[in-house]
Amino acid sequence: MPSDLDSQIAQLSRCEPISEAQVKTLCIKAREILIEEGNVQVVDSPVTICGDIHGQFFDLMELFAVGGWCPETNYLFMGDFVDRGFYSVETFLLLLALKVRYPDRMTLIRGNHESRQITQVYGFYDECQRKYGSSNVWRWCCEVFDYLALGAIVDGRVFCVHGGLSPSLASIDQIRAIERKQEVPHEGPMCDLLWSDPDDTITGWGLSPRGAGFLFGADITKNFAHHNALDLIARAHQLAMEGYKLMFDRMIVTVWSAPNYCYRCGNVASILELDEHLGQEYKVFSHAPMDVRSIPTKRPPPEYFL
Amino acid sequence: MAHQLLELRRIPLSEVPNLQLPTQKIQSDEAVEAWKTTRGYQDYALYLRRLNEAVVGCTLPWENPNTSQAVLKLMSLLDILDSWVTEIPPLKTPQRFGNLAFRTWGKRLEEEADGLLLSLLPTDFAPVIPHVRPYFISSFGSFMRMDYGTGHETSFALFLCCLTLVRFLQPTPEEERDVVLDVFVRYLRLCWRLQDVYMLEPAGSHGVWGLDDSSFLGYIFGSGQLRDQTEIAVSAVLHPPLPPTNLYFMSIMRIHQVKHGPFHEHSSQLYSIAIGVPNWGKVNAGLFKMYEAEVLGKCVVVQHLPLGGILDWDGPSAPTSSIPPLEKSSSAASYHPVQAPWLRSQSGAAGQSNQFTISSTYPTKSTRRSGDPYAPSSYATGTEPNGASYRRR
Repeated sequence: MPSDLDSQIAQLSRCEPISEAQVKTLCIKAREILIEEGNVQVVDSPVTICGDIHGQFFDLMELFAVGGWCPETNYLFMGDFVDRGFYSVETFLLLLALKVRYPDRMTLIRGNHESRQITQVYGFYDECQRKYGSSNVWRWCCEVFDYLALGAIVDGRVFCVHGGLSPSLASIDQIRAIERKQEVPHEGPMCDLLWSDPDDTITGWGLSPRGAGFLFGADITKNFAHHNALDLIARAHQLAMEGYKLMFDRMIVTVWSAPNYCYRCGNVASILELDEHLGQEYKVFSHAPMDVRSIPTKRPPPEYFL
Repeated sequence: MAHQLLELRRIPLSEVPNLQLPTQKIQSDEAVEAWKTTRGYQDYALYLRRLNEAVVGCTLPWENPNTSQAVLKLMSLLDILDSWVTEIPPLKTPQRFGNLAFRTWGKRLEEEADGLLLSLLPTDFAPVIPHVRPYFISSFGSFMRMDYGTGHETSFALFLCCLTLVRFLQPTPEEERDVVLDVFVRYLRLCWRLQDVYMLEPAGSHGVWGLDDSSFLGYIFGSGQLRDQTEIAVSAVLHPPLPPTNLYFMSIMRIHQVKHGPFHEHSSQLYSIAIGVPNWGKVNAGLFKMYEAEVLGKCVVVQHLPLGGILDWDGPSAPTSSIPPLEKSSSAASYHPVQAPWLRSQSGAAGQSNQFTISSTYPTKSTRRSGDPYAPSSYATGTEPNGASYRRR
């Protein structure tokens, strides 16, 4: 298996999709590993924490160039691997293959885009259809999404989650009690973890204009950190033009790892390196140069034009 | 090659006061299908075909010495809205996307919409105003979410369609040509300016797998302009810069203005059309099919549209329960790129009562979401879009 897997990793690293049959096997294997993980996966420092990727494969390669390759570097990705970009398939499958190959050196937690409903609206479903001619790959990937951890905790001191906090969850132990193996619900604690946003204009909880999750203020953040003996909450989910954004007296940070998001935002990206003392170093990087990208493949136009 | 199209029906002004005001009627894929059988849908489909047919062979910039007063007044209406962008500059805030000044612009539009429409329309058209107002004010984006997409563009086209059904605009090829090459071009430029100045987000696009982040009709009309010629090949779009002689080229150049990266990646559909579709006729026909399927056929897009009344909903009755407006946001939150697809529309600026609802009852957050009433049926029934069921855990 490792040699098969190594050749798949090599293939995916060249941005070449693996076969449908290989995807199926990989997804089954990944589920066997993920099912053993807790809702809040325990991770040891040093670790490199990454935010949204959104199918920006060549920018993920820039990330690895800056942060080091896996397994030499211990990685934690905070979700939103898919949607928006052109290479969600290659991006997610590469990260998943690395997870299966090096389960203790690659932690993947779930973002709000790792969902059947969201991927049907924001591109991953269309991409699987276009690249494989059927929705099988999409379906198997969605089954893996259901098993992804909801959060992670580094050395018991740094809590990592895709979106943010939930009014239903006062402690990390309560997160551990969630039945996570399901499609992301429209409301409730599991939904909130993947959808909420910190907001420096409110205190307490606010309704989110996203229609899911909540807004939470500095007081909520500090209380949660204090109650759970945390140094830091790391989250992703929102574009940060400088790649990261610290808020609430450095109690929470947004890490964003998709440079020039959607080809149009002009932002840089970052990764957060936590050393063995949980010291924080933010490494900023830009989008991949044009010449490293793949050459266009000729795909037939959509059926409407035939 | 001009196709003979049916006349667009006329709704006499005397009938307008008897018509129900439009309300949001689409909450499910089934309701989308029901809508497609209605006379209002058929009228809109015919109207778009007529606009398309009117511009075949025409080149921009367009000059017609005999432009009607109605078209001229629509142009000055759009000029007024454009001048507001100058008067309402973006706020200097740390947030870079979704500038809150857009809500001020939207509030002004809502407050002055009646006055603007009163000065646009002759006095005897007064009963038309409450019917077209909802389309008008939702033509420029969502002031709550601060985004813009094909649903808003469709709203503007429905606004023009209504004005033609009641014969403020005339369904003659000459006037229809002016509507596309003057009014719609002016509208697009205003929307681009709004997007740029207030940093509006694309409303729920399919990422790189959609035709365009925010527009569609420009590609239809543009490919219509190019349809009957062979001098300019479909693949010409791969070689920018392109002259602004048609709406297709203008739309492509707009993409190059806002996006940086390989065209085949960020605009994969336009790329595959450029390399794979042999002539503009097929592009034009394909875009009509794609618009019907990907815009008008998508519940998440058209659930925002008010229907009924002038856009007659005479088909199978749709659920008429009211659709709650989104609660007023308590925040000046920063960038909110992704919306939950089950989030219902809000046409108004934050906190404004929703024009489209027939009830102002505010549900609580939990009742708003309970039972997944707004979930696309594909989710609610546990099936994927092609109808195959998946295993739920």
